[in-house]
Amino acid sequence: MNILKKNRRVFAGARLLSVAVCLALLLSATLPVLAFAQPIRSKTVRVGYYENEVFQEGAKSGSVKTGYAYEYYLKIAEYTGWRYEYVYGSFADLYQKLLDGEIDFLAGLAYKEERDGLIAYPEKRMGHETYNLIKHAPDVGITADPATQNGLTFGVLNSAVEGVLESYLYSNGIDATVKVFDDYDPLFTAFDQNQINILAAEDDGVYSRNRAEVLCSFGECDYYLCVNINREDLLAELNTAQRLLESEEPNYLNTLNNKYYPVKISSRTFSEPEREWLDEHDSLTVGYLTNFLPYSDADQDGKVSGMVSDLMPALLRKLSIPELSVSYQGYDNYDEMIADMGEGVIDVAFPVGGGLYYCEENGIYQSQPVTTILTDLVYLGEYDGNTEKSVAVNENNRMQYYYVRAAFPKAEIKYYPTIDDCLNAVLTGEVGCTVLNGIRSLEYLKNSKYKKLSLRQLPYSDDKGFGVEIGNEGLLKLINRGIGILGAEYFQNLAYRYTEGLYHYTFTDMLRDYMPLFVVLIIGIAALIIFFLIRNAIRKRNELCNQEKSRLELEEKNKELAESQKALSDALIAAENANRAKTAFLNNMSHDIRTPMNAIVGFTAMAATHIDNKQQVQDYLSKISVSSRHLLSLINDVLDMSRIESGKMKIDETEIHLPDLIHDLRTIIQSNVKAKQLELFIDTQDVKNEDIVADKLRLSQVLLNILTNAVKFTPSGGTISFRVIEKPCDAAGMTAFEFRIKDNGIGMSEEFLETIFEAFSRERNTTVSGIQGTGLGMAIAKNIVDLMGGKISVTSQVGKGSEFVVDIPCKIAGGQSDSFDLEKLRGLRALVADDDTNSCLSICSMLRDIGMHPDWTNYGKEAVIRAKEAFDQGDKFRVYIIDWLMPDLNGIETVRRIRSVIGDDDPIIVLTAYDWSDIEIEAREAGVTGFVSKPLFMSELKSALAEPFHMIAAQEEQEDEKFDFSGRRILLAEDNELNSMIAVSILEGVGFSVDVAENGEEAVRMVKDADEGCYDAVLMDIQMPVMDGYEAAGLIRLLDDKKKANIPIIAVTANAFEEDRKEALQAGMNGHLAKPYDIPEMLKLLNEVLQS
Amino acid sequence: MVTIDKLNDFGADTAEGLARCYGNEALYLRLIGMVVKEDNFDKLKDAIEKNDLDGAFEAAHALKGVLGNLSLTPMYEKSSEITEHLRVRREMDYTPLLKDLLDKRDELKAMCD
Repeated sequence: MNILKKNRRVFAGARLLSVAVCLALLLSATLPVLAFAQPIRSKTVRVGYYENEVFQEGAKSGSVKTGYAYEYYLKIAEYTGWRYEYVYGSFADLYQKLLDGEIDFLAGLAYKEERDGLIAYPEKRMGHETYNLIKHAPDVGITADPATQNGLTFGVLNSAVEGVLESYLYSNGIDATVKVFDDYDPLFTAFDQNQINILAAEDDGVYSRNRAEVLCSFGECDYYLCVNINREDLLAELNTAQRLLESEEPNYLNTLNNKYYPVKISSRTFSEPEREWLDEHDSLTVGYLTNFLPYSDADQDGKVSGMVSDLMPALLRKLSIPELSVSYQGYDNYDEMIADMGEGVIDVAFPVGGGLYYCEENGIYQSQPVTTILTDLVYLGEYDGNTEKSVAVNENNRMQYYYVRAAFPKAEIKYYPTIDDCLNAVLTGEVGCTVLNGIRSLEYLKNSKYKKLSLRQLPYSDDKGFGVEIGNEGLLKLINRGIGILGAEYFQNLAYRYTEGLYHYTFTDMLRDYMPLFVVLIIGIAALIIFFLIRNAIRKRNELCNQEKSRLELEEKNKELAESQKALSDALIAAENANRAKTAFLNNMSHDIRTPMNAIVGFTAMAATHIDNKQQVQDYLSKISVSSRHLLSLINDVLDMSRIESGKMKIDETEIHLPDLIHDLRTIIQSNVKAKQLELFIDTQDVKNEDIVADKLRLSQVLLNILTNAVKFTPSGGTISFRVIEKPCDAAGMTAFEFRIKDNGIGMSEEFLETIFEAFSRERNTTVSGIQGTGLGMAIAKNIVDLMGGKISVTSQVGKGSEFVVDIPCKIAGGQSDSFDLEKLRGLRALVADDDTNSCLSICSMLRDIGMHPDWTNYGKEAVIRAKEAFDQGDKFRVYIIDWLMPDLNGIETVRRIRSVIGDDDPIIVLTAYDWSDIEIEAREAGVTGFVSKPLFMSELKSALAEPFHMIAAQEEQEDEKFDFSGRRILLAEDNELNSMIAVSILEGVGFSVDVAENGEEAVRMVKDADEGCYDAVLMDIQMPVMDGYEAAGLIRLLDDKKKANIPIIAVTANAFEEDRKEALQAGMNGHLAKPYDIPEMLKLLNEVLQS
Repeated sequence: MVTIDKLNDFGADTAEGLARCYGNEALYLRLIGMVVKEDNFDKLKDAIEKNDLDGAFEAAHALKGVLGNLSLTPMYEKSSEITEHLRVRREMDYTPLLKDLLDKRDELKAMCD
């Protein structure tokens, strides 16, 4: 039997294993899609699942599955809706099961003629693999040239590879000996013992074998996801799915291949030029630019610093040539650096950039980019046509000049000696703008003197890499190889490590930052300072007095109590320290004040630009109001801090609605989050009690403090997650909430963590770069949380991020239960689509609480497929909750597609973290029923669900009002045969027995002759021949038998005039109906008269 | 053969009509087949020709009820109009209205054959 992919683990070394572990971790984030999903009624198919490293891992019930094949199954399921039942076993067992029909699918089989007819192959492959020839590294004489392979011994496994190898040898006219092995172990042993020269292997068969190199590839082979021969239905579905996959995601297989089988350049043979260069050189001189962080810089001692100082050693290590000695040469000027390369002073220059054209002009090759980063345009004031007319360029940075020449060919260029001079020129208006590398600009402009400058991202990206003189091909290739191995992520991390150096926060900067604020708050703060000064003066005087007094006492006691005196002097020092700390505290408060102040300034400006749009202005005003109230509360905190210190702070508990608090928090920080291009996830877990008793102001102050710090210390592109978790509490009427705020920002050092919650005792001052402004806010937070009887804790790691956990116990506010009746939803299915798994789980749990059966998915496309599947199966979802922003398919499009499947009946509710007013019209057109904001709380979910279902419920109730008149008999007086047939049909439909009289006279007679209690009512047409309805009714009322005389009579006329009604009542009838019959009204009236 | 589709094209509100027959399509279609043979159409025609407004009102009124019950909207509307004129015994030329109604009746009749 030919097993295409057998026992790959034989090759595997530690390196592959670690890759696999990484992949497993990576995949585990996406896996829960199926693993945790609710059962839905879709077809279940059986897949043979054998363990095979990288290709298919986790072949055990309950273990996490990863691998190329596994991911492929899931992709196919997106198109077919299949669910998989995995059958485990060895390849051979599973192949037999496929033949026997015990499983439906088996992956990884190559096409073999003899298999045709035994198993079914789909039209398209699931992947392909390349076969490579591997040689011993010292055999330099053997190359990719077939002539050099003559007379050698080749080793190959008894498998599909053998045939391919034979045909390679034949077609290239190579005369060689081929040894065939039955298993991998003897094959490798033979190679290691030099019994064979060339190893023919699948893929990169070298893995971690020392001294083995890939020579060349000699063929490739497609492999398939094979189907049991009798399951033509599955084969057809698979074919359709593969065709769709190919047309919708044409690059899917390539991407998957790259993910699992990336090219390992390191294992390739060094090329001829690379070898030559290494043979000729034992040292390397690297030229770098000083003052060009994060790329390169010289420190105070003139030693190299920045990315380049880490990059070069790492690169040589990865290339396994650490013996090469490296020296560095710094340059202030780019042109000088390039010129020196021409002179042979340096071998490599870093960084170079500004475009390939200028590199060629300078006579250099540019390596693979180390960073590809968009460039930012920096300007002052409004961006207009004049901004780009003149550009400031650092005369020592030719790359910037090249970039400006390419991006703004018409601009006037003015030269300045440094980038700071350029920025100052923009500030003074000498030039319209300058440009800054995107990775530099963000940190640069944090410097307060540049605060007035604005940024605008330019569409042209700027690649920066190493420069090597044209002709030095070997070195260029070595560097490119190294860059490829290190990977983009390495450079990015490195870059962020060095950007901090661009940001110098000084005391003057801080003063400048806070100056406008001081102007606004000067009176209040001045008063406070005076207050503090006076108080401290008093305190100091008291202490001095105490000291004086005790000194007198001590003198009196002949200095016997020396230790007491020392204690007193310590107290003095402590008091003085406290005094200093308070001054620092006042300065620091302005950081906390800035955030809401920014929101007020920003929203005020936006309100001014939208002054004509009343609704929008109203919205802004409400946001301004939220922020200004918070600002006020913070100013109060300046006072609170002293109260905290003296233990006089009080917690003001009121009933609050938790969702309001959380949404308010989001509103306050949203603009900062957006401005920094961060992702903010807020979700809830197990929140049952939304109305609690707590101090809203204090609680939001604590949370806001943590959140704004998270925003501040998380670089662009980072993620902040905020979870609200209710933790049930044993005490009656009490509950507890845990708020977890986690970021992946710069984190904090261990020594800082120790003092973070301590008031007035921080060792590191606010001006220390990178940890500016924190600490005091945390001290307040800690005190507040303590007062609330809660706990606050933090874990953090430098470079990884921080997580704050706040636990607050609180009372449950009494008796406010919601009035929504969602009984109608019990037992119905719901579908939740959100790319945030936590959010899905939380919403599903809430839906389950109200008795629904939810399913969830992370993908918009899958939501569409599931909606269709469920609809086709006749067990459709009755509620859809769709996230607005999903990466694969946005919410609107998802809704539109679902609507086209399910029609207009069922509500689709869109979940969004943003203001939806701008998109509401488009969304409603696409079929959106309603909106709810993130994070979603139970009460909001209920109200969103009740809205669409309320109407439906009301309607259904009306229709559902079932009448059962079984056993009742009614007399129908109606002359028209058609009308009487219709009336009989209606009346018999609800259980009546019906007798028909053709005119009034007959009706009277039938009532009179019938047994007592025979008829429960008479339905009397008015317009009848012989005797009309009025007359007949009058006669019935005059019958001797009182019971019969009082029989309920309902008039029926073709008119709905009020006169007819009156006339009917005057004639002694109990009610009036109009023709054509309105069935519900008719039944209601009958019910009424029969009951009375 | 008359069908629900044809009746829909004719302008009838078949959903409402069927509801009155508790969804019994056969009954509904049978009633349609009967209504085209209604005596009251001829009675109305005769009465109008004889200028017997009382007789005409009676016939029109009866027709209105039947047509309404079957939700034959276009005919129901015509019959209602005639009925309201006749209710106040208005002296006017009823022939155009009558012709419209009878034309519709004939159209429906053709469908039923």
